[in-house]
Amino acid sequence: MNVLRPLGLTVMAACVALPISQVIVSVAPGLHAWFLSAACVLTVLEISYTHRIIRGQFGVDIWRLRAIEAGVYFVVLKATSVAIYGLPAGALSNWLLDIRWWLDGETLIALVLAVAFALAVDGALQDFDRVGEAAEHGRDYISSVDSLTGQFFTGGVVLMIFAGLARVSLIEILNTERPPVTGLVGEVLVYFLVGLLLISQVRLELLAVRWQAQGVRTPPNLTPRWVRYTVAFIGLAGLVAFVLPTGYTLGTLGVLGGILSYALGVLWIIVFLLISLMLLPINWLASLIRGSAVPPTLPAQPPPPPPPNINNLAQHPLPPWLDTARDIFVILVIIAFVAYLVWNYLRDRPGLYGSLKALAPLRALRRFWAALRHRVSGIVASARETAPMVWLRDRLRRAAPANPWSYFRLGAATPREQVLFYYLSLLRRAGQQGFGRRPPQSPRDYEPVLQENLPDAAPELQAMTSAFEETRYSEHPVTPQQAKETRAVWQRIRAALNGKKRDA
Amino acid sequence: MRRFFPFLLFLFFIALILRIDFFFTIAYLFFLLFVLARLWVGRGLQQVYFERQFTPRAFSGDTVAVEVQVRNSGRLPVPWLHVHESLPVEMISPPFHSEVFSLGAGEHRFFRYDLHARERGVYTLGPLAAETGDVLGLEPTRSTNFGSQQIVVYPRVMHLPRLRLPTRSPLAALPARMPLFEDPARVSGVRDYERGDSPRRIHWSATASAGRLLVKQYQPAVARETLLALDLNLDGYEGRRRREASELAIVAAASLANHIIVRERLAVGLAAEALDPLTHTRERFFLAARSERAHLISVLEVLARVRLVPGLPLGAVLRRERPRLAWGTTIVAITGRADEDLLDALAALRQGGFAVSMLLVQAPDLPLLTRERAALLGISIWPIWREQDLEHTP
Repeated sequence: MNVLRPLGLTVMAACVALPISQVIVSVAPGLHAWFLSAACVLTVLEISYTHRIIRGQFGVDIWRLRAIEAGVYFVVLKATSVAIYGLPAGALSNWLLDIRWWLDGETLIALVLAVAFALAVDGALQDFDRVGEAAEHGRDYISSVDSLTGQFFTGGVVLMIFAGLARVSLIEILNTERPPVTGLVGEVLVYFLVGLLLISQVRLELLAVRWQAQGVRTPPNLTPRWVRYTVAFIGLAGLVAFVLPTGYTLGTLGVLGGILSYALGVLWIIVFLLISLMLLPINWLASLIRGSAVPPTLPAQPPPPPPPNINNLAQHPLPPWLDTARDIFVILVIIAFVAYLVWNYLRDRPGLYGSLKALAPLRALRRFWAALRHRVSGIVASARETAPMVWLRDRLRRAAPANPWSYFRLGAATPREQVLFYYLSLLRRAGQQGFGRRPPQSPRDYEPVLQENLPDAAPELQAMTSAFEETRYSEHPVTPQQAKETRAVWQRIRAALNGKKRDA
Repeated sequence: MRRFFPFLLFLFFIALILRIDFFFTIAYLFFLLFVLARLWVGRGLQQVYFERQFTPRAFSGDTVAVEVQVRNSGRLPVPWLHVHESLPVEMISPPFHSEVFSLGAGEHRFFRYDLHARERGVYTLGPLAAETGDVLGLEPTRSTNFGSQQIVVYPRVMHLPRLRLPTRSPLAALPARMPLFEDPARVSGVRDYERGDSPRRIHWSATASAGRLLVKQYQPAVARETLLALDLNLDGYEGRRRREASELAIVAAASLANHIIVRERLAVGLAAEALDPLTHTRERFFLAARSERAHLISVLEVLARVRLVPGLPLGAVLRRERPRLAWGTTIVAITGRADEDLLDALAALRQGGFAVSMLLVQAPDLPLLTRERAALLGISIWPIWREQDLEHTP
């Protein structure tokens, strides 16, 4: 852990530093992205490996040491700059005393980035050290795991913003008609993969500390399995994520604008009609008073806003139907994902959900939806009873075979059905082995026969018979736990039956 | 995981604004991690089964080994499973057992622990709480409880080398004594026909086999019944030694029942009024006298769980149960206080044709008058102070 964690942090820092450097260089072309990135990465590497040593020796006096470290960074950066670019022309005293030479833009920016990265990584390392500590009481307390995940998300957002800016300029962002940017963004992928692995490791460490405090022994195979399951879990999610569609040719904002235009147009027509209808009698009265011979008419309807031209939205003059379907599918997928996330978020926070439900517009919307569903279900029910539908249904029923093949899915059965299934399976197998139930025998009459043939499973047979009796002849509710226990009993009986079959 | 939802929504937002396809893939990745974690954790617990294997009955002083099997019957692995089994503090310290497992698909594990049956009683093993979660902490840990089971610890049974309880039954002749009557229900063998034997005693199948007349021989009638009347009234024992004395009384009752059924092969019953910890109410216990081993277990089951309770004094219990007693039953009253009410009840029973005796458990010395009265009534009294005194019970 003393090697992997610092290495992981360094890799993640490199992933973040690279696009930031690229964006800075795009703004100030005279700078060198590799120099800025290297400054950040080497700083993170140094902080990661000296963190433990320094904490142990210096304790709270760490900030004085960090200040000295910053000074050393500056000197090293300047020396590196000199080593790469050489000394400036002119007399030594001229540039040594020239503050602009010392505090040139690239060195300053590199220093600022290095210090920022150093602070971020130092905070992360402190949180790693705090993993498993006892929670403190207080509103401002944030656990180490929450702090680490927060830093992970923040770093990810910063990375994605800068990685995006490195590929799409600010001006281009405002252009909703530009084509999408395709291809792999390596630094983003590496950052998130390494980060997820570190989070998984932190999770394991947190649990291990908790179990150790409770005196629970952890098995030695837990860690290697944990690693395997983590890799498989992330791998499976990544595989599906790579398969899901992402590209679409229609401009997103243009599509949203088009939908909005259509909706506004429809609304405009409805409002105009309502206002016109309200004004019509007033207009007629006014005409009577004026004594005008011209009958009142509806005013000319001003044209609604024109809908957007779909052809202008797409990058091609008219995209093929497949492209259009794909684009709509992508947008629907995104909307579905976001809706699912929001729904889960609200479901996990019942207080917030209750507050939202109490809002008047949402209440009205729910009432409208309930009324609509009621009306639609009534229409469907009455449509079903119309003569052609009834005739068709009866015809289909008559055509169905007397004993249609049906597949019984135990997993889909109710607990009561499951218990009955297990007992009937017992009867079937016992009958196959020659000691089946005779028709006059009740379950209690048959139990001694079973016990005689399967003496090793006598308690299980009694339990199974009792479970069947209660399920079959009483109205007691059968819980899934009871079905599960009966299943375990049935499995033991089945093993005894198989053993008897082998011995025979 | 804190701030996961805002982060994920922000990912989608950035991807939408920047229109970089790969950012959508990253957003999908996190979304799928969230959904799969939820499904994985939810299914994980549903497919885990537990089964305890142990002997549900034990005697005081025994060690009971409990083996718990944890089985993952599904196709999804369970990355970690923390099980915590609550155990009775009287039988194990600390009163719990915790383990952590990682279960692959279809895999099972065992864990074992030993319980020490120090005191009689009915104890509960479990419930067993199981907790699991995902590897990234996206989904809160989920836990569930599995059922509990009971283990019954019988009271200690002392070895009684001999027991000469009084009897008033003409049929109650112990095997060591001269049998006066025969029990026609118990055939002990055959012998040659002798002049004067009743034709009803001819054993026809044996006669046909042997070719000569053979008659049945019967065992001596062993119909003596004994009722153990156990006093579990709070006032039936001295305050300071109440618990110890009542436990000794229960041990005495168990030992007597065991000796009578196992050694003497006679019938014994039990009458008591006590607190039943299973129902938390005062219960009236009456087990009619029987001589089977299974009946002994029933008696021990009751003795395992009864507790002292403020209730009827023993004399009132005897008077209440008298109509159920067969004529000639020997009544053994086990109590810690021989008061006048009890003596009156025993005297009435004696006059009614029952044989009575009394086991006084850690009781103070009886007044002279009481002892004389008991002797006059023919009520034998045996004081016991320790378990070892039972071995010397005449």
